[in-house]
Order: sequence, then structure tokens, then C-alpha cells
Amino acid sequence: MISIKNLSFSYKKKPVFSSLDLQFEPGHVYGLLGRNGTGKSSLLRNIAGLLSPKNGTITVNGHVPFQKLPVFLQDVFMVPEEFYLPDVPVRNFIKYYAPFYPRFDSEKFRKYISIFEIPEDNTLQNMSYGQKKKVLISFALATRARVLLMDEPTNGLDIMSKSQFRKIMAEAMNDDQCIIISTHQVKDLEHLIDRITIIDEGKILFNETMDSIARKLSFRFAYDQEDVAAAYYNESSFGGTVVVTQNTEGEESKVDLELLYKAIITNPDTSKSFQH
Amino acid sequence: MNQFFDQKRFSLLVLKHWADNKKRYTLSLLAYMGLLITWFLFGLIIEGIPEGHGLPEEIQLTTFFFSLFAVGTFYASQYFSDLGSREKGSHLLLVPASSFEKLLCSLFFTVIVFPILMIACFYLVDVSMVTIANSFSGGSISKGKSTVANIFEAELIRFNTKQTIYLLLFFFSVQSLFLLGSAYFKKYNFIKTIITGFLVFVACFFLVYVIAEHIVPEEKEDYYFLKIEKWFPTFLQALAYSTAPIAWVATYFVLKAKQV
Repeated sequence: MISIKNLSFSYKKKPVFSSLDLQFEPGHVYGLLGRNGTGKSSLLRNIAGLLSPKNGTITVNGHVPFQKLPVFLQDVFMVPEEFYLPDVPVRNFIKYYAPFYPRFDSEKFRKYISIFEIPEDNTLQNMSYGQKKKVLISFALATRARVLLMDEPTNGLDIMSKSQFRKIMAEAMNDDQCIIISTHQVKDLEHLIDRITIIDEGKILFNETMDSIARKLSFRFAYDQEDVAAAYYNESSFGGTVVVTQNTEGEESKVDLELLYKAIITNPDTSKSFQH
Repeated sequence: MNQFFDQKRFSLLVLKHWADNKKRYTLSLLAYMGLLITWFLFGLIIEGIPEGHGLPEEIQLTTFFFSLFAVGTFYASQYFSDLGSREKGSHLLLVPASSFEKLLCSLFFTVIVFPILMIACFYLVDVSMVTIANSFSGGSISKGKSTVANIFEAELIRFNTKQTIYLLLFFFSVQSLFLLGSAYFKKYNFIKTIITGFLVFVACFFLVYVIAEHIVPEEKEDYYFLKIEKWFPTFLQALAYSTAPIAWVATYFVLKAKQV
């Protein structure tokens, strides 16, 4: 579905990432993690055709994104972190924008905005940032585009809206769709994501499925000093010391994305443990 | 479905543009009419009625063409200015329509809709103002009744009989350059286009000056007879007709290569 080969990108002379090779398949929700400025948003914008790669190739549904062909654009939807919506009522937004997307489902859109508690009569410009974002997310899911790119989708959403977002996402996902979510707020999306890709210093540091992480790593409290010393990562907490260790028990443990991220970034041995 | 141009997609794009901008366009046209009324009333009160001129056709024509150039170039310079902003630029580029359809939509609004609305608003105000001016004819206006000027038979420049055609041709050429500037420059599109245009004008002026230096004989006569090559007037005419299409094609390629 999305094939990235030897991709390099830079802003003028400032390199963002180089020689990336990635494959995104339908039926999965990918979590794209990384520090600020590591190129997560730039990668999404390259996939959406808003930026042109310096080297390498990207194909999305068989199309080169930067050509921005209508057939490509109607099957790829991006929810940017900072976005613009016109000064029109929600009803008119649907009336004039939905016809561009052949698979758009108006019923689903109405359902999503009612879950988000957004009145259809409201004008977009009179809404808060969070409300606008909910309209955009509802629209994005209702397009049923085969590629959905979301850059920090839960930024600006309140606690209730975050759980509404998870509910809507879980309901909207289908097997022919590939969803890529770039985020720092991993806790918000823990149960949605089924594959984690971590970018650091312009390279892919880690790219594994949640199942494989749960099989190979263990996220738990450790009370024994030897246990703590042997861990890939440890962190003091109220209940003791939480550790990320190799999973020797054979039982799948519940993945804590925040701990995983810290372990991958601070200790290269964590990702090496997946290579054998 | 054709990926370069599709009638249905183009219609959707036009409707979307109108829906997104109708509030702004309506307010802008009302502001334009308000300014016209103020300007004409000012002219009538200061000079038209006391001096007995009413509302002369020259004033009406000058007002129309000045406002057409001022408002038209500014409007064109704003059309693709959204591309200078990451949020608005992404919104514009991600709409599922081809770059050609997006360009064609801009031409539909700047070259067709804009002049029609400008002319309609101008005449709405102009006819009312001429009527007001003439209502004073029984009193202080002494030099006959004012008549509504025909902008399609403008006589602003005395040496040419096809003035409206050439003025409009010149307007669309200038407007197309501002449209190109709106897509090309990230910020301050209007000002940067004016500065670029001025620099190009100065460069052309010096080029002509240098050429003239070489072809004018050095003898100190009062008059020189220079033979102008036959192709030169044809070249000038071709330049007048081709500036706008060349700028439109350039705008298309700028749109295609735009990154935000």
C-alpha cells in the first residue's frame, strides 16, 4: 500500500531523514514515534504529497504522491497537527467537500460528530480548536480513504474527547485501510496501534508489531536490585521501580508504550533484542 | 476519470471556492461600492455641483479603470496567497482536484467573475450617482446633463481607438502577473510582485536605452529617422496578447511544484 525506498528529505541544507525504507500495509494502525524534529511530520507530508523527497521513492496505492493526481488525493486523507477549515457551517462543509471523496459516508460522519457532541448547525470559525479538530477527524474517517495520516490527532482534545476519539477510531477502522498516527501522547492511543515505528536522528530505530513486543519484552515492577540492573530500562515510581526487561516467562505482557519508547531511545540493546 | 481535467471535478471546485469565499466576496463588493459612492459624492460636493460640471464621463471612466486595476491586481495577488501558510496551503493542495483544475478555477474567478461583478457594481453606483448629479441640473449644474459613461468605448488615451480592448488586455496581463506572484511568493505577495515588476521594467528600460545608444547615429541633429523593422509592431502585439497566457502557464507549473 505504502512503499518507501531509500527516502531522503531535507529542508534546504538541513537534512531531516536519510535512506528510509518502510512498508505500510492495509489493515493496520501504525504508531509513528520520535523526538521533536526527527521528521515524523515531514514523513507524513511526504506520503501526502505536500513535500517532495530529495532522494528515493514513495508509492502510495501505486501513485507517486508529489504528482498530486486527483485519484491519489481522493484516497489519502491527512489530519495535520495545525490545520485550516473554512468559515462555513458544518452542514455546508459536508455539502461542498464530501463530493470530492467517492467513498464518503454521510451517515457515518453524522454519527461521529454526534459522538463528539458537535452540533451540525455550528459555523466552523466559531468553534474552538478542539471542536474543529473533532470535525476534521470525523470527516477524515467518513471519507473512508484507504490511507489515513494523522499528525498528533489527540492534541487539543479534552479527556472526554480522547476517549470518544478512541471509540470512534475503533469503530471506523477496516481491513482495506492503512492508518498512520504520529504522536507524542502514546497513552491516548495504546489500544489502537498495532505496529510501532520509532524514528530517531533521521533513521528508523525500531519497527515492530505490538504482538512481537508483548512476546519479547516485559513491562513490570521490579523489587530486586539484580532485576533492576539487568533491565533494558528502569524508572522509579510510587509503587517501586518499573522496568523493561526481556520476557523470559513466555507470557505476553501488557505493553507500556511510554516505557518502550524510553527504553528504545536510551538503550540500543532493547531494539537489538528483536534482531534474533 | 481524466486526471488532468474533469468537468464534474471542476464544477465541484468552483462551488467549493464560492461557498468558502462568498462572505468575503460579498463584503468586499459592498466595501467597493461604499468607496465608489464616497468618491463620487466627494467629487460632486467639492466640484461637480458648485462648478456645474456634474459627473463628467472622464471622471467615471478614470474611476472605473483605476479601481479595476487596483482591486483586480490586489484580488489576484490574494488568490493563491494561502500557499504561503502551512495550514491553508495544505488545505488547498490536498483538495482532490488537479493543479490544472485549481488554476482554471482561479482564472474563472479572476478573469470572468471578478470583472463582471466589478462592472455590475460600478454601474449600480454610477447610474445612481449620475441620477443624483442630474437632479441638481435645474439648480447649479450649468454645463448640460451628465451621462453614464460607456466603459466599452473608453476614450482615455487620445491616440488609440481600441482603447477598451487594449486597456483590458493590459489589465489581464498585469493581473496574470499578480496571480503568478500570489502562487510564487510565500509572503507579501502584492508588494513583492510590484517590486519584481518594477525591477523588470527598469531592466527593460536600460536594455532599450543601451540598444538605442547603438542604433542612433552620433551626428548632432535635432531629428533622426530610424527604420523600425517590420516585425517589431507584430512582436509588440504578440507580447501584449501572450503575457497573460505565459503567466498562467507559469502559475500552473508553480502550483504543481509547490511544497508546504
